[in-house]
Amino acid sequence: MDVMVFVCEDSIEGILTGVYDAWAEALSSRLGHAHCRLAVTGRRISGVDGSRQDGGMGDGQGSFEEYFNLELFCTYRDTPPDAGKAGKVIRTLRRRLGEEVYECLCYAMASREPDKAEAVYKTIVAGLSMKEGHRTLDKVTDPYVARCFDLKRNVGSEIHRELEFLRFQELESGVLLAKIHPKNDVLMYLGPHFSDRLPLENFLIYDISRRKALFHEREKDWYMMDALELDGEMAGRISTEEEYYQDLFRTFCRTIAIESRENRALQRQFLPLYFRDLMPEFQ
Amino acid sequence: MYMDTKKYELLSENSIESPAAGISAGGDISGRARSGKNTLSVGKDGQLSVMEKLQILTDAAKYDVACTSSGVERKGSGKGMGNTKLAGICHSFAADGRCISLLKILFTNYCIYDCKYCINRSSNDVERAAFTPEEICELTINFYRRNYIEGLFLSSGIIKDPSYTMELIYTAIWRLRNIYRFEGYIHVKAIPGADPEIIYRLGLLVDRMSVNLELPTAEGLRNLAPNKNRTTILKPMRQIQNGIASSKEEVALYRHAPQFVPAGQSTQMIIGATPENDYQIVSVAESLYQKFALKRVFYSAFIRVNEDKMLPALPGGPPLLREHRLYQADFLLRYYGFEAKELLSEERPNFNVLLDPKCDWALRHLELFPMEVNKASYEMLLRVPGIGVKSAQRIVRGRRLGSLRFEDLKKIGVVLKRALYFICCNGKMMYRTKIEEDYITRNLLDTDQRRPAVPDIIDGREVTYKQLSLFDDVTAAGMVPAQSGQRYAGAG
Repeated sequence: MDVMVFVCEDSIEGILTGVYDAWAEALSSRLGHAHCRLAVTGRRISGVDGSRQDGGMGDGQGSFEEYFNLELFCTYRDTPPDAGKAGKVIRTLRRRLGEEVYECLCYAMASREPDKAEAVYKTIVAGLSMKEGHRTLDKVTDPYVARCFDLKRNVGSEIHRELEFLRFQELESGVLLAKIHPKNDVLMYLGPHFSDRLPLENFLIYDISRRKALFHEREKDWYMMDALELDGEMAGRISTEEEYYQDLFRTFCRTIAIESRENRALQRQFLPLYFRDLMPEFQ
Repeated sequence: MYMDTKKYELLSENSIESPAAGISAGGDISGRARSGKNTLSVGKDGQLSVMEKLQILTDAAKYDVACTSSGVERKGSGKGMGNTKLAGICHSFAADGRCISLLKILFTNYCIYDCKYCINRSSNDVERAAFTPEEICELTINFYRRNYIEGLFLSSGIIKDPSYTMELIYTAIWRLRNIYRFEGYIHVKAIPGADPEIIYRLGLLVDRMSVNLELPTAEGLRNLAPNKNRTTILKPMRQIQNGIASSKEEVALYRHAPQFVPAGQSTQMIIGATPENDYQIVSVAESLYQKFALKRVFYSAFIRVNEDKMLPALPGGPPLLREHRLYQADFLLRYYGFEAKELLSEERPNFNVLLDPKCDWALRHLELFPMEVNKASYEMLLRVPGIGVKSAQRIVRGRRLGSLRFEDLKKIGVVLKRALYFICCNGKMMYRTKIEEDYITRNLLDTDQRRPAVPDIIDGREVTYKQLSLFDDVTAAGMVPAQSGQRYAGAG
């Protein structure tokens, strides 16, 4: 019998819609969940400079061929994102598996790895078959659970690194602007941290690779916008004080190092070169 | 701070440093008693730009070790700027690989004390400067909102006397908290000899306080820091400990009671400036954890910044490997349930240069291995080289759902190349392995690519490691890089 591959949009809503549809299919099949697989289509990221090609992001159509080789004996079915289906899955996950597992799955879904949808789907299958769903992540012997855990760890550590290394610049308008180019889609997970930390600031975090932005207005909630070009001219007009503070910080970073302990390899281990193009102390 | 010695003075001295002239900042302080050299720069002080001051007072602060921003989780109130994370956040890393988490500066590097190891000692002819409270606040806020730093670490040289200096620090911190509404992390040094009342007031504003122990023993302190003594250092430490304890009780009763030093207290000491052995140092650290409830003890490899006949010469550079071993042992004390006397003894008073303290311990207790991963207690798992706190927790949780295999351990995060000599899964070891000290040692060293050339330092055990003479051409300094890293912000 054929394997049914559900191709979903690369987003939490998209993947969980896929889970919903795959589940319905599995129930009607003699083979159950072994009969179903999940795959993502979506936007493809190539390179730090933001150059990239679009997949079929947004329309749930088509271009998943770019991501994986089509296999024989598989039927491919597009599953357009559906907020209602995804919402049902989320409610079930939170109730049956608990917040810790749910958070882990959300992080895994932000990963750049194409097998994430399948790992998340099969982890949910494993979790819901357990009596104690909140123990799902303890099931280290299950390869999908282990994979999810891996993905989550990778995404979690990138989120943490953005909290560490992201840098705001003050624009003429007083708005703080940070540009990032994370490998995984972590932008959303930066919102709670920075809006709690800088409640009185107007700030904007822009993901260069994915052309999305996170906005925060003074004393309001943060929100995100997709498919957005940054106005280069506006973003280039920094405030008069900005250079001054960048200079001060460069001086600080240079001076705080102890010459007789110099250890560039160690510095690189903790702060990979990948991040440095957007950090003023390395300009 | 400490170690670096001289620089540390802050820390070291911290207790003692004084507020000297720096004070100029407030204006009201200017022109106080300072030693002759300090006076010279005073006139100039008023003309220094913030950039120049930052350079001088960062340079003077860099030997202080503690830069952690951990220990307290606090959400923003929504009315100011800042919050704190339990694990702390590092924001950058300096060329020496040390983390930059806090804006680590001195209020002033004027100092009435003359500690031999400290760069800011009164007899040194260094450029002196002092911030104003306003300047400190502006720097902190503007760095913080750009996400450069996690908060402020403020120490100072001693101007006039300890209480006077602490009062200056208090002024700056008070402004930062109440005028600038800064809610991020603040770490200040408590200066031994300062009025307990000021220490108490300051403790209610900051997250962490530390008193520098400076040197591991009272005797070392007498020799190198003539203006300080052990008793005055321990007094504020005890006060802070008691303050934290009673604050916790109050908060338990009244949720909104003010919190005193919520991120706990730490200290630091200089390693290698005085002749103490590792066993003495680890024992001191252990008793600080037990008797003073410290959150962290930091070790600072001595850096000879001053010429002084009382200070040891260090032809091989600062003792970084030794510092690294002490940090490893420190983690074993705090998180792994080890006691100082298990790691070292009067007969073996120094750490093994080639092996970390945990491997070293395991090799001396081969009778306990191989350990069955699916049965061993959590406490015993923690003692296996290659298994850390997180791995041990995941093993314990995971094995309830089914017995674990080596491939599962790998996914869990166990470092098998180390652990494989000490564990078995369902009665089987990973490979055919001899449980024998020489064999395991050789293999562990091989996998780690550690090829140090100083076997004679290993007290009385050279014979065991004879095979290593192959690598004698590699210098001992080569061992340091991979190991000496500490992510301080997270460590605390």
